[in-house]
Amino acid sequence: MSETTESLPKAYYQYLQELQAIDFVLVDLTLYLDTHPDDEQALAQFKQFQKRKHNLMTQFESAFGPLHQYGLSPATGSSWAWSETPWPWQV
Amino acid sequence: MLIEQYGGADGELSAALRYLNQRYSIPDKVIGLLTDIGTEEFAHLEMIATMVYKLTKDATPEQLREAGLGDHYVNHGYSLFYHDAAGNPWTAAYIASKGDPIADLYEDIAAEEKARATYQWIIDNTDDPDIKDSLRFLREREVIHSLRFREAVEILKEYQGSKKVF
Amino acid sequence: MDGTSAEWRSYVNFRSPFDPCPARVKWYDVPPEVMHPVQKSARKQFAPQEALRKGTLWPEYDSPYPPV
Repeated sequence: MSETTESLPKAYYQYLQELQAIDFVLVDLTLYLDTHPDDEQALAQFKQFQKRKHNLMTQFESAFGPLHQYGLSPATGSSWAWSETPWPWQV
Repeated sequence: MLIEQYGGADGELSAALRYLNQRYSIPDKVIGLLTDIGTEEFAHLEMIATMVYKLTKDATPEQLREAGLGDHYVNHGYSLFYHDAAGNPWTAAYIASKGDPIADLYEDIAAEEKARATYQWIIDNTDDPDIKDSLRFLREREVIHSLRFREAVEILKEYQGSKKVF
Repeated sequence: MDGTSAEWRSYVNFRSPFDPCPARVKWYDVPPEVMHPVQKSARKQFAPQEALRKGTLWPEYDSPYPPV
């Protein structure tokens, strides 16, 4: 378990901020599509944002490790990175 | 005060468990919505926890006592716990699941409006601008959730097979 | 309808001459989901960062608090 006492690089926060906005669009669109399943334009927008999220996740995770557990994020590197800090409420 | 939204009757834990429980017996068309909103509530729960954690983790016991958290500290130290602002532990009595889709959805709409109002009162009582921003975000989410549950009622009013046109 | 935000109603309840405090105007919120309980379109949206700040993608359901 790594004890990170040095502060995280600026890029970490920049990535997270952009990811947060994209994730949020996906959340609000998901709720809209749950009650408007026939809205094709909204669905197209959802797919577009999904792609953006995927690209951003790939970049972030290759630099900073997995964001999701249970295999939803790739396990890179030679040691188990999932349990390393920081956790979301510590960031 | 934030703890009210963590372990209180109209808080995020109540919301998450209420919706995730109702979804087993609700008509198919609405299961997705209940699952998605229920899951989002767990994320909100974590947001509240983060706010409480950041506000209290480095406070001294004296500061906690002054903030009215003395009893909580005696029972839980710096850990969080699922109780409301008065210290009442969370209970399943806070949620309802009648198994009747209309009754359940109206319970959900009421829950969202109650949560929205609670956030308003907490915002009124807060002067920390960052906390206020987070609480405003959470309040707006309740507005949207309420909207979706109202739409779900409209969906249930539709007859089988007809394509709904809003 | 300009499709924006919460609407606020004020009220003053009955006051008896024996009431200790002066009458106070109170307000309640009739938020957008109550006025428009079904969303009609997904066309109008906030940009992602602004949506995140406001708490929703939909300007029609943006409900600022305290009210502006």
